[in-house]
Amino acid sequence: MAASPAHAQRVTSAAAPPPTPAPVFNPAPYRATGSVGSYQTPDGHWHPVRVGTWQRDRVYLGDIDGQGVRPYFPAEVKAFVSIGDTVAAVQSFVLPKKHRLVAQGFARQLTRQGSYTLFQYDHTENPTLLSSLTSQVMLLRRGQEPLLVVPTKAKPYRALMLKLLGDCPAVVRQLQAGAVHPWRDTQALLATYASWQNQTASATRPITH
Amino acid sequence: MPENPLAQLRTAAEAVRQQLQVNSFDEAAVQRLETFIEEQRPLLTKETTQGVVVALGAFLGECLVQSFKGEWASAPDGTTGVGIRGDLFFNPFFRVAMQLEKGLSESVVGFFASMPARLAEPPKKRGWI
Repeated sequence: MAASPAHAQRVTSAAAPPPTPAPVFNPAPYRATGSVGSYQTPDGHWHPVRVGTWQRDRVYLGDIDGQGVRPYFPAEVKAFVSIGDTVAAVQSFVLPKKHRLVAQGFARQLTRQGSYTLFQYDHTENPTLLSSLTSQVMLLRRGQEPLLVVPTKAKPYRALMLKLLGDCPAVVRQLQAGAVHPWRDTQALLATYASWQNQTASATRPITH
Repeated sequence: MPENPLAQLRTAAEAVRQQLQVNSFDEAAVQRLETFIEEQRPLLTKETTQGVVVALGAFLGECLVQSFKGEWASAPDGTTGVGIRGDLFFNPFFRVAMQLEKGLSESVVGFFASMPARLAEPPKKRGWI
């Protein structure tokens, strides 16, 4: 028996694949560039974010989907993390050449060992491989004390490190041996010092049951 | 929350003003600053100099701002100083560091006294923002 036209129409409709939605054109610019990371607001909380490029005085952040990208300044962002790098806002330090004050900026965190944090700051706007040979400085912070610019000349560098880390015999031996290069060896020196501090603290801690 | 850097500079300048016991940020204040730097020079070490340069430089900068209608500004290299008249940029931290290093031959008073002559020169192209 032939089906009625109404029945045939119903069967055909239920068996057909759902209609494919027409592509929707979004006229808004879409910028999902950068990498997924997180950033810390001044109140200490961390938030997921898409991190774009960053310079000495700003970082471009947007939503995870790449929307709402805008520059953020060190007063708005305490730190951000992207592709394994931690970059932190730093304040009030004087560049050695001509005593120029950097009121605030962003610096890459090289290491954190015990109470010391070591940063690398580049004072050029768009650093290149060549310019960075002379435009980068290392900054060292103990706890929440003001930042110190790490000298790159051997004598003042040794004097500063001896003053800061001179209670650790292993560090003193390395510094007095004279084979320490600031850019190459500071992270290792800080690691040695932090390890020695931990061992000393463990040895003097009373055993409790 | 990290403070606005301008507010930090002004706070530092005000703290120094109180320590120096001067009433305003003017020529007399700079003369007191010169004396203070000379008193401190023998007592400072390389490690302590930087903090002193920041504090005293902020004070000298504020004296420039208030005496010569200047404004705290950023140089093209991102560093901070005082811009005046739209074409002159001064680094007060450098002037303080120079007196700390070389004494009265690089006096901050001498620098401050040279300002009217510098301002009398014809304007140059603005090099700061």
